[in-house]
Amino acid sequence: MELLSHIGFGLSVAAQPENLAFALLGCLIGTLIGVLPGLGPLATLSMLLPITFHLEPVTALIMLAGIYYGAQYGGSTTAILVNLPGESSAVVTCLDGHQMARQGRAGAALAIAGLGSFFAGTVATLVIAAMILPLTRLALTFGAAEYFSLMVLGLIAAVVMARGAIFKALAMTIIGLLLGLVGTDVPTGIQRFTFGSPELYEGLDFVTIAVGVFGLGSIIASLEAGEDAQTVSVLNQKITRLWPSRDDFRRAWPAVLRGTGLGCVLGVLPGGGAILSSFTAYAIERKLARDPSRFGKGAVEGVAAPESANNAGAQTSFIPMLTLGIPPNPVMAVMVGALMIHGVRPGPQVLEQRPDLFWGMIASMWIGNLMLIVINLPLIGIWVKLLKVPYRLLFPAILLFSSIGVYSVNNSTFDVVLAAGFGVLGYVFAKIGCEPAPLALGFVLGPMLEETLRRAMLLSRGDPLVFFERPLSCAMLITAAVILAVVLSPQIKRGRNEAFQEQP
Amino acid sequence: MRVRLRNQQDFACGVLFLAIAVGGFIVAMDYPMGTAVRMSAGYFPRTLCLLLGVIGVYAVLRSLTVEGEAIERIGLRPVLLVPLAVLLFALSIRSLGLVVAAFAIVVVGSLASPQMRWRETLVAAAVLAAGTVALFIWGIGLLIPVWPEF
Amino acid sequence: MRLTRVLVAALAFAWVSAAYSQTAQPYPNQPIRIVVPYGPGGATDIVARILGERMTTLLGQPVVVENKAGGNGVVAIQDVVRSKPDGYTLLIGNVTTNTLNPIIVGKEMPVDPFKELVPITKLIEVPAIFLATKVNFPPSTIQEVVAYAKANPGAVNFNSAGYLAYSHLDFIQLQKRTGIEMTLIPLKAGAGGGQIDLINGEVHVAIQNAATVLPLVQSGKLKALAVTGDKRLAGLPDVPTTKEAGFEGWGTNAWQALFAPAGTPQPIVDKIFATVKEIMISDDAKKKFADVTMTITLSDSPAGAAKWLQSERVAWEPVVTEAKQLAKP
Repeated sequence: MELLSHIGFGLSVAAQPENLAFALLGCLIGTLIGVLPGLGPLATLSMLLPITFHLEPVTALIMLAGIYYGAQYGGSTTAILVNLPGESSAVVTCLDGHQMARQGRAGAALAIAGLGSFFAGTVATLVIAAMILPLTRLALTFGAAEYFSLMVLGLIAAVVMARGAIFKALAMTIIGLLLGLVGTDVPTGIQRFTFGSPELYEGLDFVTIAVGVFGLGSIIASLEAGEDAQTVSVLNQKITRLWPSRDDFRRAWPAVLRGTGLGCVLGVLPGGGAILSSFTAYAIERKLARDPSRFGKGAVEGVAAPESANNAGAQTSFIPMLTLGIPPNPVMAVMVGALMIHGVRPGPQVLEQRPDLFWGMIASMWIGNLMLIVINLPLIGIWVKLLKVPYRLLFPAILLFSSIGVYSVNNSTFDVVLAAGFGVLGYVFAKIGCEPAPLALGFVLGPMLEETLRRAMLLSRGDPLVFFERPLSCAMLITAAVILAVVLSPQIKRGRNEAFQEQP
Repeated sequence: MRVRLRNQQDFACGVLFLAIAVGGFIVAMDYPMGTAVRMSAGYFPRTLCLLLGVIGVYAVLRSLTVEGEAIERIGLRPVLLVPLAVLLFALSIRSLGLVVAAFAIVVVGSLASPQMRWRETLVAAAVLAAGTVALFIWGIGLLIPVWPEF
Repeated sequence: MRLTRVLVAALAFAWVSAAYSQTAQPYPNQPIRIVVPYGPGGATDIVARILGERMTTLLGQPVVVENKAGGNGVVAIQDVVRSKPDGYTLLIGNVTTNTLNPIIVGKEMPVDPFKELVPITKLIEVPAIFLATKVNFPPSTIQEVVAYAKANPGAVNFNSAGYLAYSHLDFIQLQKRTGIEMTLIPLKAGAGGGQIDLINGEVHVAIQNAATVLPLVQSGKLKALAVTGDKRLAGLPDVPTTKEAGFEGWGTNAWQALFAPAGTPQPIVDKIFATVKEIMISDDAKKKFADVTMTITLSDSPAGAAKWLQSERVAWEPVVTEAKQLAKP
């Protein structure tokens, strides 16, 4: 078994004491920054990069990778506890995870998120080891047309997922897409919606929007609802148990399996892979559930599926970097930079020339996941105690931490001011019953949607049929159309019924 | 027939969507449209604004026909004070340093809650200021001044 | 590790206390900031970090790299220009941020980097590779690409990261020089997708910096038709330079240089120059940069750097002005 010998070789590299120590350090730092609202892996990696100068390349990479997926674990903690997604892929976790916390089931939500992520991480490690070359080929078959169709499918999934009226979800998605367009239009160099501020030329940052619309918006809404007045915070009315119930496990495991599979495949695609996989996983669970109305009210599948999907995706997103040296996201770009500082140029030759680097890295992913679950499960008790802090003391701390986080992204006070503005917007959305999750997805996918549409039209020299002539693209568009039709039909019927009932 | 507003939330949604759509469209008028083959900077935003506008109109019409939820009373105190606290943080972090900025955001932020108690808030601010300096500056090494620069 | 933490803490503290008591100790007596106009991990960031680490050792003060992305360098330049010209804030800029973009944006620039910054020294050049896809694209020299494009007007796709980025300018010049017509497929700056599109054949040709794409060429995923610069690359001994391929004077060598705010005292500028020179002429640095396909190209003095930058500006201005006409959106 070649696969086993590769993994064994990798484990022998990753299990060297120094590598283990730095994997642990990376996981700890990652968990910390993930938990702190707003502070993302990118700012941290930029600060910690100098430490890696004095390490072996493989050790440096192992530590940086530990930070990366440590932040994913930590990010879901913040999403569940205080309803603030640290990363775009944690947006969906907020929906049911935070509701579970409000019902006193924070422990169960955290444990399911952690165990689901661990399972997904384990599977993803094996998938990478076994199928790295076919998956690389998959990444290469995606041209502009396929990407465009994939995003359309993803956006439709977001609309499907939303609670409440579909027209609101559609509108929120469009507003997100518009926000994503802020900045320099690359093909023409025109500044769009920047109103003359150079700070906006590069576009808005996700953290600014997440802290504003999700974090500040929900703080204002909670204060208005008088949650600070309760002597005991709403968040901890009755923390019944720390561990998921048998029923939770029964519901969660199929969701974890589906989420893992979806994440493994979508993660390979550079760009929106991770966020698409978490949204789509959630949408699938909601569609499969016997009682979809439980979603958004603390359904455990709503935590299990997206969490395992985004962790699997985070891991398979290493594939283009490992096999081609092409970083799919800014965090990976830092890893490429770290390797280059060590004189290693990531690329197809790494597998042959530096198998220690290649397999050691893959094996360390699994070790990192193991460490993270060992770190995170005992922490659950502490996090849940954190909820005992009265809300009137908790929310100013969240304000402070998230403001520092926003500032740290680009060392920019302008971003903090923007976050305050988005806070008001987030409050308005809450007030008029608009769910902000589709906005987040639209924001992340907006620039890519436009770019791939324009590229596909240029490449086909203006023939829109290109989206249907390519089988993969066509299949995705048909799926999107079917989903939309399925969802719209009962809505139309119900809408009519309501209208009829109102006739006097 | 008398037109009656049956759904305040939908109506507000419609107005907000229309405002964003019209505003966005006017701004995007400055960007060249291009052609379907060679879409320029204006193509995508104008299309999106049109779609959003259609949804806005739908929401307004719906609010006049379908019964729905009213908008609850607005609590001005948190709406004003929470963003203000964040703004004060933004204004002070560069020049006055993390300690002052932390006090500003925690104290002003706490004022947003009627349950605020001065002594408790000041203690919390001091603890949080010390904690964030230790964590963010000593721990992670962010490039933020701690004290005012003169 | 704990040591590093304590060290970082101590340094932060030292920095802050230093801000209080600007004592008369000789430069440098407090940490130095090198601002990088991009996020961490890119070529400019790598140069800043390798340099910063060695400067820390030589100057005895921590040299920290601060990433400030935005507006093709405008945000970083603004930050540096607004800092005190005391040698404690420096900028590493490149051909895009400090020459092309200011010329492209022109009067609308909120700052004038030519006036408000002074170059201390040019640091390195990054050669670029003229690449072609291996999928359904026969040409394997620049001449053949030109012939192919003549036979199939508009059929050859090239990509470029950003409006009037230097690779875009190079292609505009190539089209003008040979009278061919090619189609631009724009890319979002910094997106790795550019290479995937070349590998899978959606895009036929591109010019990309050698540091990034050399492994893809060496492993046979992409064809290299030529390299910019006057020397062949050590890693690609069989690939001709653009000059050898019959296109003398065509193809940009991207550069990076160290800048300080205008008004920085000459002795401090000289001191920084001497320090950087000491670092860059060491064998260790030569190897380090050669490993990532960057060539050290130091100015002979800060005055020489100023002259060189002026010549860059003069050389680019007509090119950009003409390209702007041709590439009207």
